[in-house]
Amino acid sequence: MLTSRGWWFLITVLSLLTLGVFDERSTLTVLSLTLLFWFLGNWLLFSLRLRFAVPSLRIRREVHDERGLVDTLWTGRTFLVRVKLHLSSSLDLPYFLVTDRVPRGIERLQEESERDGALAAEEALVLNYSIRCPAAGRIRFEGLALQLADFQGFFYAVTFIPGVKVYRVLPPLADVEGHRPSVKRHNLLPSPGVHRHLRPGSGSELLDLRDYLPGDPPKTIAWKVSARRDRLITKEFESEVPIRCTLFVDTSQSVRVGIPGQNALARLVEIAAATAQATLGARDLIGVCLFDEKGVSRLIRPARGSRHLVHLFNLLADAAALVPATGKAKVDQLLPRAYSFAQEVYPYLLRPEINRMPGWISWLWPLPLYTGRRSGPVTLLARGLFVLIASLPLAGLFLLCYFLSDLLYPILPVFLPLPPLLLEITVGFFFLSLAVLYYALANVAYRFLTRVLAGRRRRLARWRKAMAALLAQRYGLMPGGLGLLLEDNGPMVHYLQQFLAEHHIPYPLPLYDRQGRYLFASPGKVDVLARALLRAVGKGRDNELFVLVVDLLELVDHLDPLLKAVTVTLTRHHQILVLCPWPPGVPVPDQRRRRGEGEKGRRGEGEREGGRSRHSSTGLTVSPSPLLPFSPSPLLETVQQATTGRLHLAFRQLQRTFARLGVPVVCAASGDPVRLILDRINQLKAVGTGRRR
Amino acid sequence: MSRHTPSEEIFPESGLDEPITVEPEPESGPPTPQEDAAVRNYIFIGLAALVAVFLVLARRGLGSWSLLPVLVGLLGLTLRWRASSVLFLLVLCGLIYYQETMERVQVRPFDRRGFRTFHLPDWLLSGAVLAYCAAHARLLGLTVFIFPPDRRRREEPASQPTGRPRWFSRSPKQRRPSRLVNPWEVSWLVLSLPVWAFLAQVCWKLLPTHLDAYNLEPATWQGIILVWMLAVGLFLAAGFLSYAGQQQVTRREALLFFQDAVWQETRREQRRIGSWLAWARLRRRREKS
Repeated sequence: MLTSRGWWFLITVLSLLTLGVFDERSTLTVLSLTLLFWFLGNWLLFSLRLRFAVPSLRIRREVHDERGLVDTLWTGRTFLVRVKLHLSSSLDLPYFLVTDRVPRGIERLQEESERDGALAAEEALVLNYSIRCPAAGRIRFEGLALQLADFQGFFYAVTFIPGVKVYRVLPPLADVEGHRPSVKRHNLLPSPGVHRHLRPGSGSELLDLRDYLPGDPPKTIAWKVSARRDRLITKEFESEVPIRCTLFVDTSQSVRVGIPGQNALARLVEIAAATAQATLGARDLIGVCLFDEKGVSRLIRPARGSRHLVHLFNLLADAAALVPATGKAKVDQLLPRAYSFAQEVYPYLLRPEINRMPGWISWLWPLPLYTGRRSGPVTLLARGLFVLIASLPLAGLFLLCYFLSDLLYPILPVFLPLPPLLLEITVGFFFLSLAVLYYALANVAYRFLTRVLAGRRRRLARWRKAMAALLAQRYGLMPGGLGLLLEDNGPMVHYLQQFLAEHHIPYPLPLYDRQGRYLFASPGKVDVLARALLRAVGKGRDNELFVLVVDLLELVDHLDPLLKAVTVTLTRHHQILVLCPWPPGVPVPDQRRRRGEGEKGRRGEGEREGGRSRHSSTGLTVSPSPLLPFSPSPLLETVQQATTGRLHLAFRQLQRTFARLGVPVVCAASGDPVRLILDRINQLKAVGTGRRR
Repeated sequence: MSRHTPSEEIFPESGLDEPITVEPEPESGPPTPQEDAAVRNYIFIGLAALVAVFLVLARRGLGSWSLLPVLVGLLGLTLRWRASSVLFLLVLCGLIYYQETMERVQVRPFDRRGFRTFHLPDWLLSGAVLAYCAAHARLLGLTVFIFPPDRRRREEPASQPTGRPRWFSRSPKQRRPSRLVNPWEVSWLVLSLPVWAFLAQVCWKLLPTHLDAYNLEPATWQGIILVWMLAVGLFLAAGFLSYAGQQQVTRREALLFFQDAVWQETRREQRRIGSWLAWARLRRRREKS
């Protein structure tokens, strides 16, 4: 609370007061008392403001676009954030600085998100700044950080005024016109949203003639043909059904890895949103199925309309905000991040009055006691060395006793009147117990020294207690949750990840376990996707398109359930397209191998790969990762090349596996996947009319 | 002609015309005459205080030595020297202490108990010194910084590194803008000066002078009583503030307080139960794998 300026002033005044009082210097005493009383008066006033005025501050936040107040934001558009800070106390705030905590991943365009000012009672201060959201998802405004000072700069306080507000950032509005087919395939095209199908229905085009059956509407009777054949003949018309497209969007852990807004999930959401807009622009029906390794989280049946589109956008925005959480991270990596964030946003919950940790606990016991870090070989070696060195004096004592045994042996019976054999056994036990006791003491001394020297461990223990209390209260684990979180690393990691994810704070995650297995492969999603696909086929109608937007690169050997479901789907005359997300920063697979799949307009891709080098073992083209701002070391380059080669091989294997069934697999990072999906839809339309003509 | 902020330029018709009492936006650039006036007022108060200090010291017979604290104070006002007020106090009190010591030893036997009635020169001197210290501190807040510099933030942008080590670059300093200086705050400062000085004289007068119990010097007793008075006063103020703080806790804070109290009381039991639960969880995981 006291600044350095205040401390120097107070120390000087107290020193002068001590000198004046104890040496009976009236002038000095009166002078010092004047300064001290003034100082204490300012402290009291500042404390009163801090206790009464600051809690009465209220926040009202609004986000505007060019038309007015909005509740949801759009990717890539500019919005004005307006924060109004209102003081409803009778005490005023003479000077303060408020800083709006801009959510991570948002671009602040103009003006600063901080402002200083003074507030009298019932006055308000307004903070305006413009933002732009680069990616879909959710943004969370936590509130305002408040710095308060007195006029002299003697007292200083930092606190936070909570005012949580979460906004959904919808995917960008795509250029629907640009995605419409520009090539005229047939002279006769049905009206938008209507596609003929070779099944009896209620359309306007004649499909076939058949004998009249009781119950047929009389208006369908072909009277001329009936007269010619001398029996009642009924006309059958074509079925005019819309194309129905269902997007199966993978939201599992594997696509959530990476920087929020720049990971594979963001790209998938962008593709899904653009496809939905383009499809609805052609008045076709589109649905979305969001799934992860645990099951289908949301399933929206194909429909059309602007309300349906907004509904899909909301779902996709929520999906884009998902963050990876495996529970495998280390507490020591998550704790500093979570604690520093809590210090900034929840300082009122970390006050020692309500969240205290006795300092001596971390000196005596490790925290946690059972699930803490086990002693590694280095620790064991260090302890052994310490005990060995500490045992040297004892060994010297033993040697001394051994060399002086001739002198001591005649004296011993005086103190221990025992038979010689018993005496030898007693002496042996004495030295043995002495050695054991010494060993134990050396171990205790080693533990104590490691506690004394381990300042970081003690600090982490203090942070852990504070965060455990906050998390136990936040997630309703009271009253025993605090003890559990302190002692068990598993729940602590889980709740720390949840806490960080809720506040949109990125945190480090180990990608591989100790056995070198990839932790984010999410093999369970294959079964989930297969079941969801079969269910969609079971409820599907005529020619439908199922687009599987799923990351299968790490699961090439576990595709059997999905392949069976795909086979069933194809036998029902539906179409399937697999869209595979690609890790950011990794070169896309060679385009030349896919030229035969009917993708046009991508010839420029291969020409842009001039700067890449060909991997010696895999024969694949690789290039330095754009994620690395420095020239990679040979080892790093080798690892990068190996990773790139492995991914390319997996992608090719995936392509081959699905190609046997006639299902194309497209890389989401290359070209325009939305155009490809729309081409598929157009092919479905062409199939319907082509057979007819 | 109305002046538009950048936000209004982006959204000229965003409907943000709700009437609100809004302070003008902070502006960068050369200070306006009004901002200069705020700084000038405090400089004027500091100079007046130095003149008063000089006159009082000269009347005490310090002669040309009276100029020494004035010079230190002037340096602080002109160069915005941060340590100036502390040095000013030390030099001033050192001179007074030296003069009183010399008077005790050489010139005349000074009454060691000191005066206990209202002493005008000391009242003036106290008020002047307080005026200088307050004016100097507020001037520093206006021209140097008011919040402690945040060492985590550096002025050097990351996009334009100058090659210097990161710890070498300065932290940005937040000054109090002159536009926020209320004329009333200067008036209140000037008006409160004699009150604080008078309060100190009253307190000094109320201290007992002839208390010599337990073979302690009267000066020691005065010190003990003064320390007790200050301690009791601070204790009462802190208790009141703490009570007021407890009255205003939110539900989350209250829950956290109770949870912490339970944990403090049952810490060992919770530790034991938590360890067993962790053991059981790990064992289940091992059995599954």
